[in-house]
Amino acid sequence: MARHNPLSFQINVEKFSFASEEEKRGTNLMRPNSTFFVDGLKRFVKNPVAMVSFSFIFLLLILVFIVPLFYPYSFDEVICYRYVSRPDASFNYLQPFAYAPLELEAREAGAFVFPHIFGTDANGHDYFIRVLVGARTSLIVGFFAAIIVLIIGGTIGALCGFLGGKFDLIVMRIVDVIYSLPDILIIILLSSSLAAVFDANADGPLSQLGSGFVAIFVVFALLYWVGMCRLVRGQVLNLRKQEYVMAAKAIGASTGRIIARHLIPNSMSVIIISAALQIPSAIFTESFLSYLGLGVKYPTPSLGSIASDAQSYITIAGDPKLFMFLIPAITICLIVLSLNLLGDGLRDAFDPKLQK
Amino acid sequence: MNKKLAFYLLKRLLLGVVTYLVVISVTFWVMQFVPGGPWTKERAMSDAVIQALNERYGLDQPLFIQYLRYLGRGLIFDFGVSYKYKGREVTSIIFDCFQFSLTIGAIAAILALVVGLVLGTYAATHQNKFFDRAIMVLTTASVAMPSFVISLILLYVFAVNLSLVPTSPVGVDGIGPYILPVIAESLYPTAYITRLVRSSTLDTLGQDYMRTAKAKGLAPRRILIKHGMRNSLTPVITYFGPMFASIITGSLVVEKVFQIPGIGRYFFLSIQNRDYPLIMGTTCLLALLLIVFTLLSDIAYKIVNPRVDFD
Repeated sequence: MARHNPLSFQINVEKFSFASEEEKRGTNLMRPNSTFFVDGLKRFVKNPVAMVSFSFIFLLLILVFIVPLFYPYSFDEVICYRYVSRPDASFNYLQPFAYAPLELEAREAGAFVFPHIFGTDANGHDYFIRVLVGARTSLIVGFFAAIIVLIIGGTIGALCGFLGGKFDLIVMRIVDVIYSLPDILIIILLSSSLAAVFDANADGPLSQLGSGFVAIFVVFALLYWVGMCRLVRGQVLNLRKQEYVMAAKAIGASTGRIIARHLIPNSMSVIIISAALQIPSAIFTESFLSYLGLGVKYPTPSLGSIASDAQSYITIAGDPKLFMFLIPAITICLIVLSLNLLGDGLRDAFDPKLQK
Repeated sequence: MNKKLAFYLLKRLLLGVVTYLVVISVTFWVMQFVPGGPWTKERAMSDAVIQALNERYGLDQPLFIQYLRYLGRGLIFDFGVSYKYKGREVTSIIFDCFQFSLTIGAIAAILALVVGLVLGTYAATHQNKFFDRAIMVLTTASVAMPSFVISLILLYVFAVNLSLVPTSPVGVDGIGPYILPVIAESLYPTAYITRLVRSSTLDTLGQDYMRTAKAKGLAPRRILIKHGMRNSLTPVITYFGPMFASIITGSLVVEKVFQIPGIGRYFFLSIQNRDYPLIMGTTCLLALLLIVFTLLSDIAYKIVNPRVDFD
């Protein structure tokens, strides 16, 4: 048997074998192992602003997705047709918790009439349910716009980072051009044109959604992916240079394994947070388009379109209804505010580069 | 000027030209796919009249020829006569409406810059004191407000209810009608600049050279202005250029709420009216301004901050 030469550089392979169960039990654990995710979650829970925003969004989601399922009025229902077969103006512009004369009669007769919590609007719809469904529309627009940006920008950015070379060069020049396009201009142009296209064939499935709705998705798909693309590309390029990726390559890990085990977990938090911050920006864009009359198509409500309709109620002589404008307006502000704060909170908790 | 800077400028200039061409092309082709033309109005016209109008304005020619002519006109900034406002040159319409947007926008931008700088620096030097907290809360809240909400509330409170400013449109009654639009347009950039300045000043205050300046006995004001400002202003420069361009081209919403006959308003109306020359004119102006100001602020950024690579 050859004696071990103390000067040999040959590595003793036994030193790299897995620890036995007994050895593992022998190590003195001061506290249970923690992962990156658990650490981040702990930081997140300790941040009061983020938690308040999170609770607000959570409650709002429950409210807008569950309450309309069993709410006695629907968002496009004209209330007066429950009582008479012709339009009845006494059902319009009701104050909060007020009843129309016919509803009072029904109550006298012993029937239960569900109160109009926020009153009714100019067309005799129940305003509370319209605000709820409007908030739902706005949240859905924001969420899907963010998903679109994430998918398109993420895929192209990852490809650029991986492939490099000519592909990367060409795509990055296109990204540069798109980045400097005036976005408001293109949004208005596209949504006005889409509005005209939809008016021409009003029965199409997309037409029901409304031009602004589709235009926002088209614009996000065409323009706003570039920010995400740059971010993902930068992440991939940066991570590929890290030592642990080189180490993984050196011990023969496949590209798929490197992507799944090293690149995705390490870049995911930054990417998802950035996508989450797209949601308030999309909600902003939607409300802006709705205000200009390019948003969702009546009777579908969105917070922007409700607020835009309600601005005419402000100036009704003798009986101004400021609250009808303020309710959707404040709801937009609160949603955008809490989403912004939530995004900041997530960034503080999960972005490893910001940790002290 | 060194070689690297010259190369960078050339590259940016080229990018600007390409962007400009892309904007013109996108505008042209998007408008082509829209059903209905400039002559679709409430009262129908006879085919002969439409034919004559198309011939007169060159709309009967093949699309590609129209496109090339369009490009040519965009490059020399001459867009011909408006379809909707008969007999008026597009450039003169744009000149007339641009002055309102420019006045309001420029004042709003400068207001935002000054107020943002003062508030941001103050907040940073008084970190975690009451005013810092208050400023942070206010700015966080105001970036979450859509501009139509801000504008309408301003209009309702100060013009309708309190009658502090006249409700008449701009152009009459002196400076009164300009006040609210200026505030409405400057609120968002003010909040944004304040936050930018605060965080970058906080960054700068922690630097070693600031401590050195303090150690050698300079007055605090002098340290802040001479040593701090130059470094903490760099992010503001990047933001200010594009912001200035977009604010002087008029906010569509603010111009709608306050009934300002500005360029944003005309751009919106021209699309509704299919007034191709006017759409073209407004688009070109908006795109050009945005490109030029972005370029200027990028160059200024590189000059102020020599550490940045020219890549």
